[in-house]
Amino acid sequence: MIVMDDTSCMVNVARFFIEFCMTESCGKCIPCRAGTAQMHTLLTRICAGHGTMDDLDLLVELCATVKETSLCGLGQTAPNPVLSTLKYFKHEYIDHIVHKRCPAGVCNMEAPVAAESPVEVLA
Amino acid sequence: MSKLKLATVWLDGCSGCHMSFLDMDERLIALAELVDVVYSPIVDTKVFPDEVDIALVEGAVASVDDEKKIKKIRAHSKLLVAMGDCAVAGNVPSMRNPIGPEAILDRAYIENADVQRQIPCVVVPKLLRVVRPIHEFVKVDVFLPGCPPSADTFHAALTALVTGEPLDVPALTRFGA
Amino acid sequence: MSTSVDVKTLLIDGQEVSARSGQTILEVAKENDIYIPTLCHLDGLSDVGACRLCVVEIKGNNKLFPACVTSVFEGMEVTTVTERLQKHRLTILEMLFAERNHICSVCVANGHCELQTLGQEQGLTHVRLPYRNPELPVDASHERFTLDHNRCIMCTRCVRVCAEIEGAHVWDVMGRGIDSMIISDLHEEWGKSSCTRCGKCVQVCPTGALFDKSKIGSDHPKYPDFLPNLNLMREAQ
Repeated sequence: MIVMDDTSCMVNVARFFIEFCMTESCGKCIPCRAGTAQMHTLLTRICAGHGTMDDLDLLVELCATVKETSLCGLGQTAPNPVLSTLKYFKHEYIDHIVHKRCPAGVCNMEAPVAAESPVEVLA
Repeated sequence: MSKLKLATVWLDGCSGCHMSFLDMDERLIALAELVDVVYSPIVDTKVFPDEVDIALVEGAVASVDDEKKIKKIRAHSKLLVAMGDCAVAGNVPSMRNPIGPEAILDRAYIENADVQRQIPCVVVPKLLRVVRPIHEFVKVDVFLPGCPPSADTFHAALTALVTGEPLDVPALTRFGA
Repeated sequence: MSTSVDVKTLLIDGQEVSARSGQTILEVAKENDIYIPTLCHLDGLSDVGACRLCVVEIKGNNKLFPACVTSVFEGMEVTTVTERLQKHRLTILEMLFAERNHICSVCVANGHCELQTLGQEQGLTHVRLPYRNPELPVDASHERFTLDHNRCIMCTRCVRVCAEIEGAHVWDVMGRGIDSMIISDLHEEWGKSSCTRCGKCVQVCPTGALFDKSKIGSDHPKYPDFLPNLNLMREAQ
């Protein structure tokens, strides 16, 4: 259990933990290696205000696969922060995706996600 | 029964899927009994019609123009089919993604050019940073992988779509087929 | 009469089969022509249970078990095809396709690739996950073979065949997580490594990551079947 107040953005917290698991993953099994990286991409996207409800569905599916098929305890528990924030604070995810706002005021919705945003290159 | 309206679209692809579509040969005549081709690179129509029953889209989304087009196509089509690996997975157009568009433009128009070394900036649409398959922009109803999907694949898939019969895509084709 | 063979009886997909003690679910399934999808497993090499495609359900346990490294026990009831398993297998394949740059149409292994075949077989028509598009090197320093990291799925078959069968242990894994990579020796160019040029790694590579330079287009069938025979001949000596 971790105690946090309303100045912590739950999506950002989930992203923080997934980032930790992603960098800690040894890379041996696919679900943990690629799954945590994919979850991190989706959560970063949601934090930046570019997420869609499809991304959220995909995130839930990834959680299930990583949790159930990973080889060791790291992968099997990696999705837990996402699952528990989704269970108790789903409205924060919805706020980010639908209303493009971060209730805790943590996420910068203006920030483009480098690889995701369609930046125009020809002047 | 009135004929179904069929559109085919060419985004960032090599037109190979359209060639393969035409490879249906005499079966095209039978197909023409069932559908009207209302918009296509092989038909002289300039504007995408308001109502299309089946839209076959070839190519990935690589420019702002592609993005605009695919959104318009989705809005005016009942059934959107991603035709070929570029539309389904990015394929060859997406090979520039790891190194970025600047490097590609530089290589093509500056390094390898003999005369007039400049990156075109008039008329041509602006490129997106990352080339992506069409389902990352709009909802896609049917995916037909293959590079290109064979004429037989097109025939089986279109027959199923037009008649409403079940369509088993993995039995017909795969990535790179 | 005492016998040293301890026989176990179990059910795989409702079919009653017998197995020797210590055998894995995958071995028993293969002996009985029951198909379980695999990718990192290869007959003749040790198993690492890394790809997770062979996961199966065992009655009485909610966890999933990789068939290639799970030993059988008496009365075991195994299910190899369920909606839950199919979903996970598909998601894992999607992860693999999105992880690096798999462009089937321009790959030397097109039509001979285990990843591609598995995708089709499991009904994969598109990848819902965002493509990662990492920038990865290609090592063409070897005079006969090339290693294209873009197509590598980190199954470590090459590592195992080189260490266990050839005995050279040229290949190894560097880094961790999403950044892990296959390296030769201590991250030297393949051409300058202690490689014996036997080519076993190329034959066991399930994708086009390791390929013979003399092959062009998509004409690169691979023949990993030599392994069990080679092992058999060595045991006989």
